[in-house]
Amino acid sequence: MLEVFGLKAGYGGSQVLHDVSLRVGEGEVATLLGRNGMGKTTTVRAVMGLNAPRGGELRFRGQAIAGLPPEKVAQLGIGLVPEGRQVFPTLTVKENLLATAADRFRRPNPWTLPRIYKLFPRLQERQNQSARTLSGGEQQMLAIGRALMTNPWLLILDEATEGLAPVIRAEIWQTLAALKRDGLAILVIDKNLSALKALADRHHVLEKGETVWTGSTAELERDIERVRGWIGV
Amino acid sequence: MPERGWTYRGVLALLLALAAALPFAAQALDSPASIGIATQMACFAIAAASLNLILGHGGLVSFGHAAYFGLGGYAVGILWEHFRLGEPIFGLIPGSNELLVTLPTAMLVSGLAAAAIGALSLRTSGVQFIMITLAFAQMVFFLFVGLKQYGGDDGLSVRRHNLVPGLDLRDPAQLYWLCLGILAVWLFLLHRIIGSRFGRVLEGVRQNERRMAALGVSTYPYKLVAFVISGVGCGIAGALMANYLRYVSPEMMSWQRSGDIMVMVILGGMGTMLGPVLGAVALVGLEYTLGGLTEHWPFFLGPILLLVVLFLRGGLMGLFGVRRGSG
Repeated sequence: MLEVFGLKAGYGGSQVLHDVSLRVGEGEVATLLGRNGMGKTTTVRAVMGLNAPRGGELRFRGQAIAGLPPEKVAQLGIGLVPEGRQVFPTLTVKENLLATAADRFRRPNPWTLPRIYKLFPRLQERQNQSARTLSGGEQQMLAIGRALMTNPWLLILDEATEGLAPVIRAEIWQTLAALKRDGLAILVIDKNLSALKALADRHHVLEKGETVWTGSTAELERDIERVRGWIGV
Repeated sequence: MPERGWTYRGVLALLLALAAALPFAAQALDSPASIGIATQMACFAIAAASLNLILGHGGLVSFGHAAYFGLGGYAVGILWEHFRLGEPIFGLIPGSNELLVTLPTAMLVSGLAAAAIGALSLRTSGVQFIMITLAFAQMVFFLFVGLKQYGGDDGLSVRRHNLVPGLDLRDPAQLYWLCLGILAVWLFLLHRIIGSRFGRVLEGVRQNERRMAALGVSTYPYKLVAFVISGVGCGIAGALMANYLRYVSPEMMSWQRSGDIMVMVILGGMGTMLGPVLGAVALVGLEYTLGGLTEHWPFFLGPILLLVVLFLRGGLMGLFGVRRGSG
């Protein structure tokens, strides 16, 4: 689905990513781990075309995507749930879901408002409220719903559970598990190792802009001490 | 959601009824000139509401919308001139004095100009966008200054009002009602556009264009269509203004005029339906009242504008508790 080899990227004069490689297979959940400032968000931004990659290869569903503008990358089927949620505050919940909705690949069972509301019943209760009046957890659900409404092949979540109450976190992890059962490929950036171990198939650890460790969940269990050292949990 | 309830609709209907009754009040108070002032307010309200679509909802600061206002005016003026002379334009297009011909022509011309200028300007953003829209408007301005055939600097007189079946535009009240009616229809259309998915995407573009793009929306076509709609609206306003003044000149497309329209939007309240109307009423009203007291009226207008921007977040509409995003 998504393959990244030797990705280099940065902002202005500073290079943040030196050699990032990762892979998300079809129907797989993969993680991107590492301490703050190691390049996780920059990797996501480079994949999405929000930062132009300075080297390396990016392939999505067999197509080279390095250098494409963000709208083209998204149109190929990557749904981004950005860090800090970033819903459109003055739009209502329903408008947030519908404004960017699309079914570009004529999927057999596309995401619709009723399906999103079934996934997150709270969003239905609040559908006519402006998004700025939602709690952090509700905004996160909205951001996930908004990305799903673009009917992506791959969902990318950047720190989706950060700063949320434990109950809400649990709800989001359950939702992601349900999406995985539906066959959606997901790339998750998060710090919650125990939840990730239960959910993900493949893990990547970033250290100073390089992928220093890659492996399955079983391998992660074996190497847990080393990985903890890198991610500092 | 104050802009969606029945009370709000009732207030709108009442405001429209009051505005429509103005000529009778003017007659009763023996102040016929106020009908003319109100006509100008209505024309500028159409222009300001149009600019508000891209400025207030799309976050696009166009500093050249007087160009479309002027083009709308010149469409009426030039068609009249050729009608008067009995010579077709370029030997092809016959002149006209029928509003049902001149108004659509004004919309077409200003829309085409907005499409061409917008297509180029929208490749930039921020300060560059402001400057490039201004530069294009100045080009149009100097083009008409140089068109000696149509009066150049001196402009063109439109000796007689356009004809409209069933109306006599020589009657100031009927011209005013026409302008008011078109304003009401145009506000309704803009309201529908803003409430549609198209309008919601535009709102998202204003809030964060990159985020919109990262969700798979190609923002350029949305911005361009909005730009063209707002240009067409200014063209309508200009065509009506030419009928009111019975005169068009390059002054209609000067950069000060672009500034006036922008000030109306900001003064009244960006991103609200009635804000630009209120702004137009306030600015034209101040121009007449202050202008009657002193010729240095802009000297007093400046501080008033400053106070509104500083202390009334959301412009004059903020006084009524209506803010951007509340409808």
